[in-house]
Amino acid sequence: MFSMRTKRFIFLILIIVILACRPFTAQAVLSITAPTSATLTGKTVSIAAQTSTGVIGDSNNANLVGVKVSDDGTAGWTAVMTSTHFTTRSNKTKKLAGSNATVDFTGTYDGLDGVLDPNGIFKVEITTGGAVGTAVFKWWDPAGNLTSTVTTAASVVLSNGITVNFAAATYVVGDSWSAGVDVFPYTGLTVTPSDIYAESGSLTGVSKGSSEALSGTGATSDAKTIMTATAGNGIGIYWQDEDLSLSIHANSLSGSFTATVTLTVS
Amino acid sequence: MKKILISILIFGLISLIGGSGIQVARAVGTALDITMTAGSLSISNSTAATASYTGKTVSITEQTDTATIGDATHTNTTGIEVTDLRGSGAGWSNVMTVTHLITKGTVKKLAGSNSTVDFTGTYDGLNGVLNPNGTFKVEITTGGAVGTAVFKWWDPAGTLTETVTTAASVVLSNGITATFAAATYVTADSWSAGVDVFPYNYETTKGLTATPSDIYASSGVTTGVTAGSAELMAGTAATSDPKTVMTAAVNSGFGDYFIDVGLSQTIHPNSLSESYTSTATITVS
Repeated sequence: MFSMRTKRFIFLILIIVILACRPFTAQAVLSITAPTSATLTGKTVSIAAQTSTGVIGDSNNANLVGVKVSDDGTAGWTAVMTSTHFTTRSNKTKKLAGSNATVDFTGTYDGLDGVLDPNGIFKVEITTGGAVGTAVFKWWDPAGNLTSTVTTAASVVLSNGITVNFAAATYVVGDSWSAGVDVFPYTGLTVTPSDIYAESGSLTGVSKGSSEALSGTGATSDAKTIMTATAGNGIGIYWQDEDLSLSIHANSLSGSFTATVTLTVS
Repeated sequence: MKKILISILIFGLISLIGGSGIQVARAVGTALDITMTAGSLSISNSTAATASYTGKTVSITEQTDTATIGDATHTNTTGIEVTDLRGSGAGWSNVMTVTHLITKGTVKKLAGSNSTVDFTGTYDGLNGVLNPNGTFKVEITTGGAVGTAVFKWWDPAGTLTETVTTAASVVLSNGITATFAAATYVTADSWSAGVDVFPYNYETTKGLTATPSDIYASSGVTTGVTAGSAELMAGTAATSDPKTVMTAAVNSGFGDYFIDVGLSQTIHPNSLSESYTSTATITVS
């Protein structure tokens, strides 16, 4: 296919290319790690708004705990975080009418209906009786939006991350169940990046983000900068703790509220 | 040879890309959680521990007296307070019961010289409205000191109980006790104490009508929270049947709620002129 001369030429070019570039194992490595979980201080349900605090990392801002960014390149980098809303779904389905305790709600509520007073519910009501697959139901989302004429099934996706499950039973018209949901929106979550600790490398050109509440309108917040390294800086290993302050609305549901923070460096 | 060339080519391209500084975003996740502990469902009457009727003058005709548990403003934090901090949406029911409005007059010496007998306790009103007003009456049937003397007594309905030995304290009925201080009692010595009642329910339509006001939410919303109806208290015992003051439906009633209860009491003619008292017990569950 190729002449020997051509082969030698290609081989030569490739050798030049390889030598011109850094060896593969020595390329710039930019990475981020973070604690797998963080718990905010628990509160008791109150008729007044409260504030809960926590930290991704710890209160010592000069140790090897927290969010870690490692880089051996010179391009600089930016570390940001996003968060979902803190949400809960009551793990106790309420039977509002009827005798069957065979309906359950599953899934993680996305919190997009916001803070509701009284707290939001997903509600299901049988409109045509029968077995699963025959019975028909209507349902309401936390905002009160009604969806009618849905056929039962072992699992039916409702909205906002929630699914309703119908176990085998004979369902009767008027049977009804609900599950409460609640949210502490991320717009009430103020993130305060701590001072940065350099395990190795210089802090020159490496700066922390400002203290601010997360913003956004989606299920996941807009990205918030926690630390940046300008071009030519940030070569090393850097640690930072993220202090969290969350607004807790009055008269919330009791239970465990969860959110997921995603930390990204690029 | 071809395979070697292709491998070298791929390796070279990867190296080229890596060396050109193209970087891929790296991301990690951290799970956050906060636990909200359930508080309690509670009720308070701290701003309405007592309620007084306006007061009336004894009359030969029937009257109506009014009072409020709370106050006349239904948008403040005075009145019966229900607080639900359970965070469960279980809903709740707030009810009240009442005892009869009753009074016991001062002891009257009907015969003899000793003023050493008294009547104590709280009359339960179960003899109803009597005309003339009822009395507890004690009469010595065998003279002597306390512990030796014997007496008979009548309840407000006129029921006679005989041959009871005196003691420092002898329980009669309907919540009333006769007390005999040290003295030498003489046959036919006699004392009485009048009692009277404004029942919470009598003659079908008379008694105490309770009217729950509008509900004020100092925290939370009134959606799904409703006031009970205005109605005559019901029952036949010393304490009435429970009457609903306000309720929160399932998935409602998170927060702090205040309600006032208007009271309208029938006052029968020719009553005793005394202070009448009753107890309203207000519960939530």
